[in-house]
Amino acid sequence: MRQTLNSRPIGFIAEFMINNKMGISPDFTFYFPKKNRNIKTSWYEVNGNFNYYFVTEINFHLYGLAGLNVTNARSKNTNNGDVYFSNSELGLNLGFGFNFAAANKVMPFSQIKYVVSDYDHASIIFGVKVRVN
Amino acid sequence: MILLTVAVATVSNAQTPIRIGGHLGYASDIEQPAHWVYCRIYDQQ
Repeated sequence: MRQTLNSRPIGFIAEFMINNKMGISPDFTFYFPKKNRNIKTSWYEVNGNFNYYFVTEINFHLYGLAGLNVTNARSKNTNNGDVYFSNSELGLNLGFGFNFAAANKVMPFSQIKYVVSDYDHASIIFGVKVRVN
Repeated sequence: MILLTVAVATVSNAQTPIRIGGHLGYASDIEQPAHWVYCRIYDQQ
């Protein structure tokens, strides 16, 4: 039996550039819980990605990403607090991303990826990266 | 405190960019493992 659902993630990201083409990008993402009757399910994921920049124009970056994903899912009964299960799975991230206004200290970005694991899903995120050095 | 000092020193001395940020988004078709589905079925009985 296969069932899927959709959710909205919010998270923090960092990017440590190794040189002007490659970077390491850890990321923590939390998903807003879903409630079905009295069962509330929530997830978070921890990612460690390797980014390779294919395009590094002054105002635009395009990069591909690959890395590891650990997703934890937890399901509990909201009536009595019983935890049905809490489970972590290791997965693989594959995707690509864009940085805009790349010459600025504050840089909007977007990233699209697919996670291959027991918690397969596709996600798109929008956010801002700030250069700190 | 030591770790924080090391982290600040590392960031300030780094020759390549270090960026931090936040994001929002949308995730579709998150697959639910079988035991998750069974939990729901069990609960609804």
